Amino acid sequence: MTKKDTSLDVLSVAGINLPAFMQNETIMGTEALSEFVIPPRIKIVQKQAGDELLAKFRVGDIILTPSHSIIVKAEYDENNVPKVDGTNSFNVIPIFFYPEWATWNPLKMKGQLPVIRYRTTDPGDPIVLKARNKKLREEPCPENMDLKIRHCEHLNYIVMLVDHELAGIPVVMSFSRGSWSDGSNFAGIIKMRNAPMYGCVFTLNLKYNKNQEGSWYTPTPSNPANRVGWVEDKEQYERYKALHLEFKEHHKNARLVASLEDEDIVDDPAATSASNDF
Amino acid sequence: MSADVTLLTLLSNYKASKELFVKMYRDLSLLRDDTKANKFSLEDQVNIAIIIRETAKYLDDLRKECDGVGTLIEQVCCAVYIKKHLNSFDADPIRTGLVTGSPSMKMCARPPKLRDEPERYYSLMEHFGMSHEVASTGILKAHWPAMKEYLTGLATEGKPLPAGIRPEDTYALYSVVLRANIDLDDVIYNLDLIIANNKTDEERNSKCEEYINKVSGKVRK
Repeated sequence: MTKKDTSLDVLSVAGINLPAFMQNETIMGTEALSEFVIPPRIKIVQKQAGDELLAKFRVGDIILTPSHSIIVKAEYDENNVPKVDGTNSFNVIPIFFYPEWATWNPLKMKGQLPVIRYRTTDPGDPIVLKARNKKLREEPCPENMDLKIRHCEHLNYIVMLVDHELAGIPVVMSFSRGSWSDGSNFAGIIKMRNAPMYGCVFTLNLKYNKNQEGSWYTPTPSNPANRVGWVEDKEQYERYKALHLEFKEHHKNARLVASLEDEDIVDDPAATSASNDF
Repeated sequence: MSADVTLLTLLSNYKASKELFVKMYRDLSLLRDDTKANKFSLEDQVNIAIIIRETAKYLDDLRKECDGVGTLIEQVCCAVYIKKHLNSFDADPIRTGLVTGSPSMKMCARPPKLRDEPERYYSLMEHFGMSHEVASTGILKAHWPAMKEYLTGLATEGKPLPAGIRPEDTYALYSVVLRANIDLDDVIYNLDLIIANNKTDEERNSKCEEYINKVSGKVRK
């Protein structure tokens, strides 16, 4: 995560072992880095993923991108398909939620046009209504009228992994298209807790989906079966609360960016109609 | 509001349906009394019966459509509200001069069936303390309205789902609890007054619109 932290402006922070000539030096040249917060993204490896990814991972593996760190190495059943019985799951604490709307260029224009044509977090933007209406969701691509651009709603959750070696890093889970209903359910079960989201623990289980366009895996949320569903440590809770406020501020200042452009997103199953893209 | 259906249109429909209700109820009461007094010939009775039956069909279809559209609007409203206020768990309800709407959610699940998914069915029954032997007879079945409350309770308390119910079987039921802040008949009465006190259609329309905007506008606590 890249974040603005004024306490790091001067390199005289205790505990940092710097050469003497760099002590008390003001950091310069990293201003642009502080401009945007781009948390890593959780992604499920799909069978339609690129060769490079499938060479490293199996379908159903849950990874962190762009680092490609593994979150859950999928266990398979006797039929050699990823288990969807709760074995392949991970726990998270939601820190912050924000919806985003994006217009995606057609898959066939890959290389000629950017993957995402337009994106906004403004709920009053005209593409919001289009994204929510099945009949308005697709429009002809101005550069190639035979192809369609697509307006999508992305439900973005900044979460912290729990009981995991990668715990402590805020990561983003983005639900849209084939995973949109899971994201919507996630909002529902968070709201049902009637408590600050950053004090709640949830489990995301691997779920198998299928339609005419193909099959894909999504994370489906539930209360945890293997641990308490609440943050029990007050200090941790305060830390998550502070993070929540920090992300809220980043979002308010339009500095929070979910890295949706990942190449594999467009290779996901049925990216034009129903796909999981996180 | 929709360009074609405004709050004024809906209020006008409400007024018309209430007037129709009063008129038809009075007519039906008279028919009931006359039938009991044996005033109708057999021919009259079949003629009356068919007209009432056909009228009932229209009214029943209209009621179903009202329920369906009303439920859809509540669901969309609740789903949008939840996403809008997900970061603030104690957000205020939606208040206008006309109504206070409190979005509400229940957890529901597709129940396992004894015939199709016996393993999950028995797991669920066992969770509630029912033996395999009793469950297999089908004498006792889960009461799903009560199950909905039970699942909602578990979701609120952060507890896991009962055995036999998988996360992907669950879904949220969205609704809005509506409490009127002003009687609709009072709104109709005020609109009738505006119509009576203004001479031209232009004046009436403008004043009615102004009143509706005032009464339906967002209200802060």
